[in-house]
Amino acid sequence: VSVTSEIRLDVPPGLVERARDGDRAALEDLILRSYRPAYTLALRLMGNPDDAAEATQEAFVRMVRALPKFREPGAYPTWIFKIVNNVCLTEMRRRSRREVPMELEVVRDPDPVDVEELATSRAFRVELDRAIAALPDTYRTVVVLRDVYGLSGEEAAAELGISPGALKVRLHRARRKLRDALVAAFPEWGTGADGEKETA
Amino acid sequence: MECREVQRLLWTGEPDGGAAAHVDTCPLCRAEAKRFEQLRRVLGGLQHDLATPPADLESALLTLAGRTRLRNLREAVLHNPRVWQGAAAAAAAAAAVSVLVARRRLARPELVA
Repeated sequence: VSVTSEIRLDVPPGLVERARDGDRAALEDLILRSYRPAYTLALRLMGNPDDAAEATQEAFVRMVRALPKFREPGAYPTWIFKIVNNVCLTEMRRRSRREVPMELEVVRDPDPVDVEELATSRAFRVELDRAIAALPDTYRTVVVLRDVYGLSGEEAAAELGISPGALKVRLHRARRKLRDALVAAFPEWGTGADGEKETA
Repeated sequence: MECREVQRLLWTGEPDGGAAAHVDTCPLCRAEAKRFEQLRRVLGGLQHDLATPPADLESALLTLAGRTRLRNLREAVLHNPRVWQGAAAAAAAAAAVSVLVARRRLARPELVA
């Protein structure tokens, strides 16, 4: 099962069909319901807002172009995310990435009170987002597809056009880089569970 | 098994039996395993945090979608054989009417003059 099928979009029954059959209002509604999660995926993959916005536009043009022949309305979330994924990976192979900070809106819990809660805190997630954006393309795409969007190793390797072995190596390195960035930002997180300092 | 090797395996997400046994007895590696699990959990949760798109993205998408939709409709018309057959029939009918009108006019010269 692909990660994208786990992504829930609020798409009412019949909306995709009406959009497919030429209903302009339905098409606009469909886009408004799905463009933000699609942009988020693009931003996570590409690492900067300008490229992500451009990729999102390209993805939706492709979606609208192909919509008249789309015969699985229930699979729309999987489909649109697949298109975004393809556009982003294709673009990233073509151009070098520009380093621009990511802007993510995070809406959850308040600041932590101890190390146990630290990992679920807003500050931790914001720092993690920064660390993901700062990864090299080859590491960032692997960790986004595999760990954020939950693709299996085989699926992620296929999407990226690399071997499962290469994926494992990249994933391991990407996770270690994230870990090190988080430990640098939150030294208390790098402390052993029994109070000892980590030795890695 | 040494801590370094155990922790390498932990971060691949595929620790073997030996690594698992080591983790049970080593507080440092147990803490590292915990960090890994926390990181995996937070990474998975990021999927539900939505980014804030640029302010003009929504209108740009709707404009592009509108143009693409019109292009789809145009192509659907151009590639629809029924439309072509209809157009051909209409053209044939128009030609037939023209011929009939011309014949009537030729039959009644006062109309030509």
